Amino acid sequence: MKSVPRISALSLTASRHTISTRAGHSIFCRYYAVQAPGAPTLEIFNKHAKYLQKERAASNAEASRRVDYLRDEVATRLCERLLFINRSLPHVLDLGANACHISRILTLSNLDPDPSLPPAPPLCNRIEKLTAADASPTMLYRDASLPYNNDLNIHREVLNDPEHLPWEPNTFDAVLSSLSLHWINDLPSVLAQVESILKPDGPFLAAMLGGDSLYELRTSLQLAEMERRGGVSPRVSPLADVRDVGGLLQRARFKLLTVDVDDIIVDYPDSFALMTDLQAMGESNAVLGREPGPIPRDVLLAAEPIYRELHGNEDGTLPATFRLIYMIGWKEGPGQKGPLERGSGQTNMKDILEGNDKK
Amino acid sequence: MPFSARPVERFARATAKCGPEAALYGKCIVADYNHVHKDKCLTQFLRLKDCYLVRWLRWHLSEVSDEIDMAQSALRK
Repeated sequence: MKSVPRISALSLTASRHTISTRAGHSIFCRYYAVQAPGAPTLEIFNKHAKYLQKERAASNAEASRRVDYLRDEVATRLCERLLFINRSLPHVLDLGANACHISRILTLSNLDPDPSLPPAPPLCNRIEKLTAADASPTMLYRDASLPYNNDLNIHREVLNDPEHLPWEPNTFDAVLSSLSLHWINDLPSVLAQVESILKPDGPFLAAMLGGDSLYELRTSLQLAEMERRGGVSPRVSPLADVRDVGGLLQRARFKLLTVDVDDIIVDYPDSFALMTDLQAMGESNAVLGREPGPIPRDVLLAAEPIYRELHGNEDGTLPATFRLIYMIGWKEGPGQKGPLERGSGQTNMKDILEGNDKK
Repeated sequence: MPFSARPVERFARATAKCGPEAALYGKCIVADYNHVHKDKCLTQFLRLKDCYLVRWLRWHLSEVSDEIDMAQSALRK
């Protein structure tokens, strides 16, 4: 019997009955279309290309440290959110650690310089062990010899596949992740795995690039390619939107969700400086359907004046927007406060909001 | 400009010297960016590219002539 070709998510199963026609040919009489089990995983990013880009970026430690500004800033803002969680966290995971930016920020004291509060001790006092995991060993061990490593018990772990977390369920008291979830192909699966490796009532705090990040670069490259070559090719990754993130967390069974957005706008002298910085961060394009090889020079030459004309600042610099989506979700646990039952409210919101003015 | 600079740095510096041509090209595209088609602003682009190539070649040649001068002076010694 002839083998039936498999078509991506749909596998066609032919029944074994064949009918002999008068001419003696046998043909298949029936086909059943069967949905393959499980959701089909959509591959958007080339994981190996991303690994190579990060390895290359981190192999030049000096150039790599020069572009830490974005990751350090986001890690700081993420750790500020951790200040509000007032409990000791024996074992914490930093998922997609890059060069362990979160670990360094955790060792700094007085993270939130509020003059009305006494200076806060470093967050790492509350953490007994921190596991930092990343797929790129060179990036992960880039700062392993710096002095801050002595201030906390940090354990670095190289992941074979960033989308399969190797830990047992109920391992970590908290999971943090900063600027790495945007390269994950199967975000629903990874979030479900994070939920599983958390201990009950453990928080998951993450920051990822999303929404309209780098829209200036995206639009000017698109316009330049349209005009020079008559078509466009994916140069900037597709990113998750704020609305998607809430749904994703809910689907992974996280409770008490908080999702908020923060724009960081960085000014660059020209579009080449932005692109070289992105490359030095290891954040170059890794979309599977991208055009192989570098961007053609004609397109680069055309994109620069378009960027300047369309988005440029008055002082001659070019802004680049990084839209950060911060998410906090809690694994369900005993004694955790949940939302009250629908209809159980005793106070009318209208009375409070309009309240005294009416009288 | 040192010749050992990365290609992208040389590229960026050469284009930075072509401000007026770049501005003309940018204005041509942005004037009607909902209807961009191939070669919409070809003349402006070619002017920009000419300027870039001239800058780039001038640097290239000055680098080469510097090297020739150095080699000649070394030979004289």
